[in-house]
Amino acid sequence: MTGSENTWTLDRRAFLISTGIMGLAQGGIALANMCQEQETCVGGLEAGGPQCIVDTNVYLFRWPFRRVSDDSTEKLVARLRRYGVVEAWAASLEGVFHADMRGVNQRLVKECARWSDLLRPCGTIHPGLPDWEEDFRHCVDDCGMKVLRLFPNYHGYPLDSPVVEALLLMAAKRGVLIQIVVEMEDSRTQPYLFRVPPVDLAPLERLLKRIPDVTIMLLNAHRTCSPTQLRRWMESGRVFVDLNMLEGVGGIERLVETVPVERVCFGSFVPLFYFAAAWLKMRESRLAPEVQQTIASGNARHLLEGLLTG
Amino acid sequence: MSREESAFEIWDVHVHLAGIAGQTPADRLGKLLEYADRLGIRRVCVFMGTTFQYDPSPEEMAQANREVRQAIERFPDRAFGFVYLNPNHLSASLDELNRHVADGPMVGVKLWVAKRCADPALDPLVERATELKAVVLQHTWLKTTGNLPGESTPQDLAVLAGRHPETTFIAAHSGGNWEYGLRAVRPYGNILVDLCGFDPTAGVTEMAVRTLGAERILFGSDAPGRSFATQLGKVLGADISADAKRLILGENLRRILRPILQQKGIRL
Repeated sequence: MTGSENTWTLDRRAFLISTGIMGLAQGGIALANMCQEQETCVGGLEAGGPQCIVDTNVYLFRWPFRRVSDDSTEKLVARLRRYGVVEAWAASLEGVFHADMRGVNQRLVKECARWSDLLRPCGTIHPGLPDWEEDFRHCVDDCGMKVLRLFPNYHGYPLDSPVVEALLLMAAKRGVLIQIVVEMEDSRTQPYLFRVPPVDLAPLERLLKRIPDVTIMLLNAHRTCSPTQLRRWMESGRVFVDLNMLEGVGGIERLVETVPVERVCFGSFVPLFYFAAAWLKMRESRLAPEVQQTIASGNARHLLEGLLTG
Repeated sequence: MSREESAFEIWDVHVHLAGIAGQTPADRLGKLLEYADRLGIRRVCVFMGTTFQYDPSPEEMAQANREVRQAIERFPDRAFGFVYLNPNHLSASLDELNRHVADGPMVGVKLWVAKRCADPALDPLVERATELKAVVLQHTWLKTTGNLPGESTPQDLAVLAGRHPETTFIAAHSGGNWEYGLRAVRPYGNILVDLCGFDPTAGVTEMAVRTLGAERILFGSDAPGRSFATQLGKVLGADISADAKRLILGENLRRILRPILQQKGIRL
């Protein structure tokens, strides 16, 4: 194929989305779809892009080492909506660095409540802190959270720590999804005085065998884990993975050649990465529309529905 | 192609043949172009062969350039070639430069990690490239984890560019640690940067435009090791003007290649 009309249509569409002038173009290229959630899905099927996205890897607030465009929630929400995101699983960047986790999670819940139709708060648990069990209880019982996020490398505990097993047991018992963030930044570009290696996932297999009912999603895992490793963990337990940090041309189509497609969920890592990178990645891979939609939203929805219904 | 469509034509300054399957180099490029088509990328600049060699021997260098030449000659309306040179083998590198740029279809030079580019040993290569109107793309990284022994930093390229103000250089990867790299090359107007080969970290393109101006920034992917999509997302997802995006996505590369393309009689 050489510069076909379809290619041009996407190119122009992506450009228009990114420049925020999509509204002006709608009459000309007939693109806005309305989905069941009554959100405008700019990445419509006619462009071969995902629609009605559930983004499982979102953050609110500021990263301490740089300012980025969407570290105000208003701007972030506007961008997510523009790209057709209908639900965003959002954790707090404060949770990576702060120790007052109750305060971190309360601010997150309050902020998410301003856009409750879009933002699902995902509390941070630091099982190395004294009384972390109370944070778990607060998130699950007081705030009704079904998704919690861990940062083992930033918080300084290994996955074979007894507190991790205790936490995963609680999560399995309460039907809560645990998201493990494997890394936040390429080690080659980290600040010289703040170097944090990726999480060592070797203990995961043993944990999955000991706690078969736990549900885990690995975020930002692809630089560290091969598809073959991921498949092994998926065969050992209820393990899911998001798409962020998946690189190489046709990355998604190559990933789902090895791992079950129903274990792969869309994740953008906004606001620290450009949302467009994740959105275009869905377009780059040759995926049947139903597969694309499964990854964009179906798997995350089914996962959450399963947790909600027990 | 309409005038409006032409304005959106995307050119990618940084593509390789290693890391994608194919019976021949041309087959590999053909597969890459299928992915490029899915994202509206019209032209790609290709360099280095089907395997990566940090410090290639003259024979390995020649083989890599033959592979690139075979690939681009299959797709003359889609791909340009840059000749891969090794400053540790000066005579052989000059021969390759003459074979593929002076007497062949290639339009640029690629330098990787064989020798840090501030070294005066590079001067004869840069001087010959400049005579031929070829652009010089130099890999640059400033790794928190430490560079390879011959791996150039953006500061190294600034030194080289200061000695050769008439040459057009491209700081590949914007120095990797781009918050440092963009600052390092800023005073040298003959250095442009490409945005490829590192994560799609928000803010890079905005800072590049702020620091260098949009005229000095090029879209590149580093495919197939990197995704065309993630790297394109750095430009399409940035909070910069539509005019700046057009420059970065293709107009700047067309501008810097125009002299050598005109010299070779290649019409766009």
